[in-house]
Amino acid sequence: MGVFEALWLGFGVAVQPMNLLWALVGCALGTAVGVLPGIGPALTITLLLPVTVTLSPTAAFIIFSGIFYGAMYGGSTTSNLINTPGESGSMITALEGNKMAKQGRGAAALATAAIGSFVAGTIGTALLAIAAPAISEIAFIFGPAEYFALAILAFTSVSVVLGSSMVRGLLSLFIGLALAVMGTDNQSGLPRLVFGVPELLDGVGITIVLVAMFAVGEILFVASRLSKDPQQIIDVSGPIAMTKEDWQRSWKPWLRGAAIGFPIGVMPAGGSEIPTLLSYALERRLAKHPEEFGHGAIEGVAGPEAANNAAVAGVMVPLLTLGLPTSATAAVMLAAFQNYGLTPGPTLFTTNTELVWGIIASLFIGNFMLLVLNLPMARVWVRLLEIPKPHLYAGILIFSLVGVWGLSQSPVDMMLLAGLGLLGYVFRCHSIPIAPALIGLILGPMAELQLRRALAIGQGDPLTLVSSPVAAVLLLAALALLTLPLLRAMRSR
Amino acid sequence: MTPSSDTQTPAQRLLRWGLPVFVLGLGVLLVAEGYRLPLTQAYAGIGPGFLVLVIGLALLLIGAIIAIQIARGVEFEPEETEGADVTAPTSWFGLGIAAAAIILPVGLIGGLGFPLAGGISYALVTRAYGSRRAIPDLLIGIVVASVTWFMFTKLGVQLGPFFPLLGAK
Repeated sequence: MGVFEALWLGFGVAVQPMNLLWALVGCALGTAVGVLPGIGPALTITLLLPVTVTLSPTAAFIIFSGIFYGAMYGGSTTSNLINTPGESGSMITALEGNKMAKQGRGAAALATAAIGSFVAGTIGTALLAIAAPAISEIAFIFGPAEYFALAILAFTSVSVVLGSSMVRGLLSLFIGLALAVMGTDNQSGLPRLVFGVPELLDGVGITIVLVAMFAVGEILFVASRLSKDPQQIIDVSGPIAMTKEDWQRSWKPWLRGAAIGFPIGVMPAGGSEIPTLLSYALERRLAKHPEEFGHGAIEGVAGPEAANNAAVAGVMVPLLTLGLPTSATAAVMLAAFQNYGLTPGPTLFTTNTELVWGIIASLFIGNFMLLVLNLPMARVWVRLLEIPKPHLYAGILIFSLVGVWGLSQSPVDMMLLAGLGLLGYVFRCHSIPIAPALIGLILGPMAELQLRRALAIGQGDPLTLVSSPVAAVLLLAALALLTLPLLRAMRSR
Repeated sequence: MTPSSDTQTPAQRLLRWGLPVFVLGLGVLLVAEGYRLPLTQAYAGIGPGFLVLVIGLALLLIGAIIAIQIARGVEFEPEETEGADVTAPTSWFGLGIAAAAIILPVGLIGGLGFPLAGGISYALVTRAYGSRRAIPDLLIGIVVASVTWFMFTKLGVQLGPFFPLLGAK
């Protein structure tokens, strides 16, 4: 089946009235959580997991993808109009967009962010549609050794790339792996790290860890260091549109942003922060008026905003084709696939054609909806920030309690929520990134299973892990990621 | 590498060792568990204890590196987050109240039911975030938690009885 045929099938699924409605729900929710502080796409999808069990997988993933894309749009609105990004991929926009808004050019900043996100998101989704089936073909040759090597590469790249230091990234990863091995070992049936508590035999639920680390940790951290200054929301006057000059200065950064964002999103390098930084640096170098950077250059909004949306499309490629999450949100979506008993990977494209292409088609539709939701209505979304902080964070706690209490009404779960919430607080106090822990928790069992399978096939010979060229290259790449920063540190001494 | 450790109180200097102590403790726990479990298995080569042991050893190594970094004066500065002022000193009052909001439901939620226990936690969080209207906040909290209870119960999520104290389901 060709790409166009498959897309045609996908659009047939996505334009069903109920699915259009779900896409709208997802996009609106995503924009809202992108605007709000303290709550991001990963947490929102986690909290929706118990609700979506009653929906079909197609409907659920249409909502989730809408949230994933929508959070990027919403994040850019906040960072343009107040100086703090609602979402980590929008940090750079806060630099230039906020300056533009202060000069009364807020409307142009919002417009170039929204239209750029649309352009890059659409290009990214098109590339996803073309690349995903091809990559899934390659993935068919993957055996246990290759999957193990891929997991190791994901572990190392996420730990090295995210966060302020490699030690902290690795600490996060190994704490995630420690949580992953808790419960009954599914090969020997022996309990591990259970300490005689029967509730722990099933392991620690992903939902509990996510809600605790993201929501509870955030509630505790902000409560302990509450900022006293009230937020200043900059007013935007006039229709949200761009002048001819703005268009001329924006379209190239949009395309370049998409070209940077998509491939980096595909690589197991963790989310959208790096492409936005790279795009910003590139636009600054190519700009005709580099002196404007830092004082509200439109290119500095257009490029990074395009890059982060293209990166989101890129992140979907390894998730759908290999079952490999490279960002926190993708890790949660993988957990959602597992909830439905679906295994993302090459076989998904042949066994669940309608689901995969329905998701991809709804990404195109969602992108268009987001443009409509965000361009004329940016001011409406900003009003969400008028919710008083005490009630916003208290509300987040109520939803967290629903997410965990709704699992099985178990006091042990509530204890884990409190304990892991404190751990999330400690992570924030030391700038330890959370995403490596999540990826360790979610990919850990897969990595262990494939390692044991590979060794069983190789009759216990560890060399079997590097006997195929693909596995050897992946492991070498992981090794390089770990050793290069060390070598550089040694040389600089 | 900032030499700000001179300005810290003795308690703060002691507290910095909390992270490596925690990580080393976790490492010891995993190594012990790894040794308790079979490390090898016929055919498969490695048994259920192998990975636990490896993770434990890695945590011990990381804990040791962090301890060395702290001894050398590397600062583990808190993360920038929206709404938080990371330069401000830790408000133990705010943290304590917010922690109570998270720990109390462990004991309360089964006996009081989701709406009331949720309402109490809601009011505690608003207090931790500087609100001083305890009674209105508690009432708002109970309303929010009740609406949430109805909404999610309708969507098929089990949240236990509505108000067990009155025998209401």
